[in-house]
Amino acid sequence: MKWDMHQAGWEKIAAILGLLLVFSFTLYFVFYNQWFLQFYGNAFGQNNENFIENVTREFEESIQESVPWRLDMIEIHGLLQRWQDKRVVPDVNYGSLFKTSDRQIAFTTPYMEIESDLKALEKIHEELQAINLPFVYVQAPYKLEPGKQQLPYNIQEYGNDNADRLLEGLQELNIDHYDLREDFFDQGWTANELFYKTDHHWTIPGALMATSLLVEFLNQNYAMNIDQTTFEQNRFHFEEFPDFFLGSLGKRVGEQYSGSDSFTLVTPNFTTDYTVSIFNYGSWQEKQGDFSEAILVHEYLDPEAPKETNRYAAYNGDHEIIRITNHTSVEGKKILMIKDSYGLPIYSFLSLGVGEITALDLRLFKGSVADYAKEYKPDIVIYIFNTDAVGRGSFESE
Amino acid sequence: MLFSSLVFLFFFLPLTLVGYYALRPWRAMQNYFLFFVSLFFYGWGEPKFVLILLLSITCNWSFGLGLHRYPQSKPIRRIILLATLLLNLGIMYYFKYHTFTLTVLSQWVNFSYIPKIALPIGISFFTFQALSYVLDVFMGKVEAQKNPLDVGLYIALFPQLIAGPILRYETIAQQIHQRQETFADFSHGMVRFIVGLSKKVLLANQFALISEEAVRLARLNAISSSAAWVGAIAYGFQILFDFSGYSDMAIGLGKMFGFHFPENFDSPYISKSVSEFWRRWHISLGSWFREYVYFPLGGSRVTNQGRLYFNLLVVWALTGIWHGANWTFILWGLFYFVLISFEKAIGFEKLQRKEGWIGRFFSVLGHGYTLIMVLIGWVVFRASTLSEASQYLKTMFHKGLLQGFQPDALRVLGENRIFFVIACLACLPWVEWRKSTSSSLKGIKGIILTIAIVAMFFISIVYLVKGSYNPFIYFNF
Repeated sequence: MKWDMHQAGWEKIAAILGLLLVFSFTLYFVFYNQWFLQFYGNAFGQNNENFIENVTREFEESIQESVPWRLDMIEIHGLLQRWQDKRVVPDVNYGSLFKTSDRQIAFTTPYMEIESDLKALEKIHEELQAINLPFVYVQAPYKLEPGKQQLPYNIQEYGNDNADRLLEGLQELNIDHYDLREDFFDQGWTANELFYKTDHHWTIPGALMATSLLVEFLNQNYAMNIDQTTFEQNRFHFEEFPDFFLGSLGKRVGEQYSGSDSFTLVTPNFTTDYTVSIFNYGSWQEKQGDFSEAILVHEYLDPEAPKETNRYAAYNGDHEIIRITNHTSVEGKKILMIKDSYGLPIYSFLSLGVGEITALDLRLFKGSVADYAKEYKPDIVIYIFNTDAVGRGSFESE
Repeated sequence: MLFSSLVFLFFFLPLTLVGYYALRPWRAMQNYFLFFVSLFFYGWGEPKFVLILLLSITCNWSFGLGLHRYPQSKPIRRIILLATLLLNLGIMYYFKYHTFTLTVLSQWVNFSYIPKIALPIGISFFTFQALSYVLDVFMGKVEAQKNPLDVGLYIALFPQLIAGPILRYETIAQQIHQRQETFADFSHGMVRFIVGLSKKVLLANQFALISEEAVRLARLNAISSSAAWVGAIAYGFQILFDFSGYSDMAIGLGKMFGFHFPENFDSPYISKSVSEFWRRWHISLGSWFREYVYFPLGGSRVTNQGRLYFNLLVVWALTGIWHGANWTFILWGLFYFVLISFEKAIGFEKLQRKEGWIGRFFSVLGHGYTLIMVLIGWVVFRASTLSEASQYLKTMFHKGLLQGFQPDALRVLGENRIFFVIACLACLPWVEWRKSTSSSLKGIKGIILTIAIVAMFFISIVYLVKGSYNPFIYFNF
């Protein structure tokens, strides 16, 4: 394409407007120095062999994160994707995000090798067996249902396949496991009732239903004698907050593209009495009260807070160790749960039917699960992870 | 540093513009400033390779001075020329081809260790520019530069440093000291930069996702024939808008600093023959090889037909190798040698120039044939190995080609229909047509264009802030 050098004055106006756009961003970065402090802290606060590469990378990342009107720009991007009716949206972290046939936002999981996961689970199983502690691996579902075509045609998704192979491996190793996926999806709930459309997690009512299924499995297989009726829907109060939550995936594609979620707060409508102890960064904190006071974190439910607030974390977010003691069930069972973020509403609800539950998050807990279990002496150790965690070394502990 | 990065757009470019125009009364100072910011630009992220660039500048400046000092001594001049070729091509060989050569030789020789050598970005581009300087001095086309910083500015000037256009020294020598910055040039450059950025961010990056997905699925044998065609077409669009977008940005930036770089693309996909395609695609590379390889070998003005084809073979083998150390690039270059030789042998372009239906028939035929051949070429060019290229081509041509559009192809086309339509339109020579019809861009048309340019710029920034796939293909060359 050859260019005419003698075009009209429109080029001059376009150039001036272009320069204004560029310099307005430059001036913002010059006068707003918060990004620089972040950059300085990240780039110079650590020893690194590749110092210059590190500095330039941190500089670029700080700029990227601190661009003025960043969220508005993501919304504009989302709007453009919506206008094009796109179901595949490029994403810097996930490669692409997809709109499923149920209008939910999802990422896909690649094929993963599961051998190291099997080894890690076999190791912990043997260690617990040595001290006569029952152990069960629970495969939590992800929003992409096995065997259902929810993604655009020919998009490869291996999350369920990875989980299937893991469970087959556990079967061969004679390690107890429970595939929660089948029962969970068989309840006849819609996709939007089971999972947030803008977040990868299950909904709080979905998690309550999953807890009920898990309790049924534990009672049948380990004679846990947890009162199944505790988890019946009519024993809970459901409070719906419409248009209240923009989950982690919605934030990435913009609300204009994904829409927003309603959030249903589920609380027991019977008397509860708890002590909740939380261990993070080397110190314990303690809360006491009923379910709402001791377990829920109300700052995540503030109606004034932006929709991007992680409402799901209201059920007591990711902690290195959280111990929930149910004073209304002093004789109840004691459970040790090793979990990812899918576990947090589960342990909150499960605590209603047991004497005590302690949950460890292996992303933060760096000790030995076996040693912890030896000291804690639970009635059972439950590993509960979603399919995306499979093949990523999620089960390894010291 | 990438042109299509926020650091470039919001820091490097505005600060460089301010610094450059603040030094306006002092041309030499402006040149030094541009040289040092160019080194900074090149060193961003990978500072160690600045040393290679400085070595190239220093040595080639010295060779130029040597040639200047011995204008009459043929043996000394030849020694200097040999040293120039050995040094420049030696550096390029070591970083680009050494690992490949050892890997090939390892089939017969047992090497204890084959090094993995990191490739300095844009090495082929700046090496060819550096060679051009000494060769032009050797051929007496230009005077040698006494000041190493001037040679440095020519080789390292940031707009064209990493991916061209490859400047021949004679085309730019005068501009180093005698260029003129005007607001008209500056505005034109800014608009050109925005157009290039939009091509890169809004088109090339989107097509990259489609073509990468197609290649990935083809590796898994999980793609239909029609989707493989869609993937290949997407790659054709990706590489065009990626590379021509970069060239637009480079030419635009050059204009903003008063430089006039030669054009690098001229609507290549409207070509009616492969020969024409290569007169429109990566024009500066073709021009470099023509000037410094093809013509010295005798070009097409040879009495022996065999010699002509030998000359073509050398040029196209080198063109292939220049793009990278892989058999796929060599095959790609030789593929064009065969096609261009065939066109020359049958006088294909002469047939197209005939009047009446014969000319029209061969023009239409030539357009279709050129697009298909170029597409096949891109499949080979894109592949990591020859077997991968062969597998992809088999999928395109064998696997149910006549079954029509399969669901996977329809899904990709449907999802990206707007991009495919825009891309097809953007391949057409709109500016040429407008010039030929003498239509004015004043009034409402001018207002619409202004809004369109600013909107394209803003949307490109939005896409960059969102962050997604954003590499430049030609950085690897």
